[in-house]
Amino acid sequence: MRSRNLSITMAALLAAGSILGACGGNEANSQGGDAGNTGNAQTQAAGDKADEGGSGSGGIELELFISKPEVVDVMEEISAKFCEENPGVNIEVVSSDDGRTVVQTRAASNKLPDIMNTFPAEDFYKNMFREGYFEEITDQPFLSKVNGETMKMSDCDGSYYAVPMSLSTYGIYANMDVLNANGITDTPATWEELIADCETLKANGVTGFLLPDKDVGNVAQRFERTVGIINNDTYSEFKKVADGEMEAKDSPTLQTWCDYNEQLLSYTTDDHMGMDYDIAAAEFSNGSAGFMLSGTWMLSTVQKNNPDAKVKLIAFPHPRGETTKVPVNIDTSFSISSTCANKEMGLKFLEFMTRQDIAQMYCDVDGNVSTIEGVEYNIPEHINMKTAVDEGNIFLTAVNFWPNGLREEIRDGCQTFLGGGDRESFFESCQEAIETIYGDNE
Amino acid sequence: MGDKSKNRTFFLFTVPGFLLYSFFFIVPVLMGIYYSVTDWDGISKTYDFIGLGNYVKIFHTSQFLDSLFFTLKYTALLIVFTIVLGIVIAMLLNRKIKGRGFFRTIYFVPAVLSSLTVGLIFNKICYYMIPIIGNALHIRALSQNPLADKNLAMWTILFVNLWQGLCIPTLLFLAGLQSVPTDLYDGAALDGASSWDIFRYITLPFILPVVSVVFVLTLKSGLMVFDYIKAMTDGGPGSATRSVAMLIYKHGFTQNKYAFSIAEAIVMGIIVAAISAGQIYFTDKKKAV
Repeated sequence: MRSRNLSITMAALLAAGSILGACGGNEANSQGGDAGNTGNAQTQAAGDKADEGGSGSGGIELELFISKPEVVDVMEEISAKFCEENPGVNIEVVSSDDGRTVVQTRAASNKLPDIMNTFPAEDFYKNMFREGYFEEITDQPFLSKVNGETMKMSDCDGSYYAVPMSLSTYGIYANMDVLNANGITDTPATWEELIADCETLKANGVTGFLLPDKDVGNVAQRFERTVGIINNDTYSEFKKVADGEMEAKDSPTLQTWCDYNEQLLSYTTDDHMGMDYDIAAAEFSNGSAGFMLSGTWMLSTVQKNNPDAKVKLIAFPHPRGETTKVPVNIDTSFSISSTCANKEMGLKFLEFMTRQDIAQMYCDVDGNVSTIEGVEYNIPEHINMKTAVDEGNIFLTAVNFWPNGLREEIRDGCQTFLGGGDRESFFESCQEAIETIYGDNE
Repeated sequence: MGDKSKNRTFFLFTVPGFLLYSFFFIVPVLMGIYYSVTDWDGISKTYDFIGLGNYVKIFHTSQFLDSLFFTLKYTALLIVFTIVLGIVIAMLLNRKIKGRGFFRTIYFVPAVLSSLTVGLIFNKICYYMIPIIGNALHIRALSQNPLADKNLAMWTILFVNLWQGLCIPTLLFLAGLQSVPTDLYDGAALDGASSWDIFRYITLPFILPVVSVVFVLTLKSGLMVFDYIKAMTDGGPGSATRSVAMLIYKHGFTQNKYAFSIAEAIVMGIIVAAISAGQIYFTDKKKAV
């Protein structure tokens, strides 16, 4: 009997051990999973051509990690060019759209990619800079080629760890083919005009807005960017909620968010809760709807899906009719890790990226507004965004100020609301999320 | 003297296995327990001890309990369907039918695909094909992507999990069925036993050890379900399909609450241990009878 009890206890411990061990194993699964999620994990030895050039073996091997699968092709071209100019260097371009998970797992094993794109304005990356995972590049002369305002946004305690290449802007993509076919010649400048256009499309049996509401990551991003447009300082408003000075249900920003979404839901597809971002982007490119919310990064996807698509990115008009500012974020930025196999060559690559011809090459494909001196922004689809940036009619998007994890915590409630949930439950979920995350980050 | 030397040899043979097990299982578990009483965020090189703070915080919101309830419900359904369907399919494949070898092979094909790949394929099927079928057959529930419906999403994931996950249990049941002596079936047929009686008094007792193995394997896979959910719903709509493994991932990787997520994993581990102990206890009791 005693031995049986002992065997039961041992078996139970083994089971517990296996699940705990396996939980650690999830890291690897999730990493592979996310890469597989979009089929975007790619590798290529960009320096093969350079090696063929007779540099011989035993050269410098560098890994370049990109969490923006849409620019992998151009980064492979740029890397190949760099390798051509630097015989003996071989750069392997690796990509996954879930960069943050990859970075965390790689940091845990102290094997960060040699060169990688980071988001220097975000709290998560700032913490990594502070912890010494990346090389400080404050004294590098090539930083002078970057727009001064953008450099300020990427500052981390008075130091720099990344060279920002571009600013992403967020708004509404308008499919001009669809609008023109339905008698709409100009893009809407106010909320009323936007709704009027959606009404016109609806009357003609055309979908006004594509909302990929199955994609919880996209829902989270839309929430974060558009509440920022409604109130450029949501941090302070949510802080009041966290401190008990206000309840989420009384938040004017959250109420407006609900209002505008209820309006847009009447112009979207019946199956919006079953639609992923990739599907929505493909359908939008092929003229299934008049409008879709997204950022400058979507243009390359649209053009890949339909090279003839005529689209324009316009500012998301303030739903209450107040002044509209465009949310921006530092998009592509390159850093070199503290474990970089050859820091000198890593820095040389960063400098190479800031060279006018290379930055131009990147900008033409990336679609985001370049921050590098001398680069021409030749993207007519984004001319409105360029004007907003030039005029300073922009604000740094909320994710850079919110406490770490708020966007991910609040998104489930947003998705439930978009799926037909009531306001009361939405406000309750926001209240809980804000209190939890502000509390955790105190 | 001979026995002692033999024992020493046997002992030495166990050493590599013990060391590997210790390194890959016991050490990570102990490290996990250690980190779970800290406030480590997965990035910082320094952290503070906070005692049982993470364990207390787990129950501050309903997230963990909601996810646990979903996971247990999903696991229970997965176990029931796996065992029932696995036995039924194995019995069909065990019959002397034409093309038996072909069916056995073709039925095993899903097992060679990765669960993530299967999840992604069904993700597209659910968006592009199911609504067409649902509309053609006038089934309102299927007229839209079933993954978008909080009431259908879990059943859709379960279906996909079974579509792929039934192969191995069926194979095990098939092997178990082939171990049943045929003369017992012949004798029962002569005695006029019904098909149900034959299954209940002859087949089932023989395949009971296999049922036990399948139960444990399915229990583990159900309690740790992650890949299918990640590929198909990411825990949505809302939190309708958020398993404990998804919750642990969310807290660890998207919010940098590593120590907290490890504490959740440990609580889950304790629950699994308790369920496993109960299952082993009852199986042993059954065997003794």
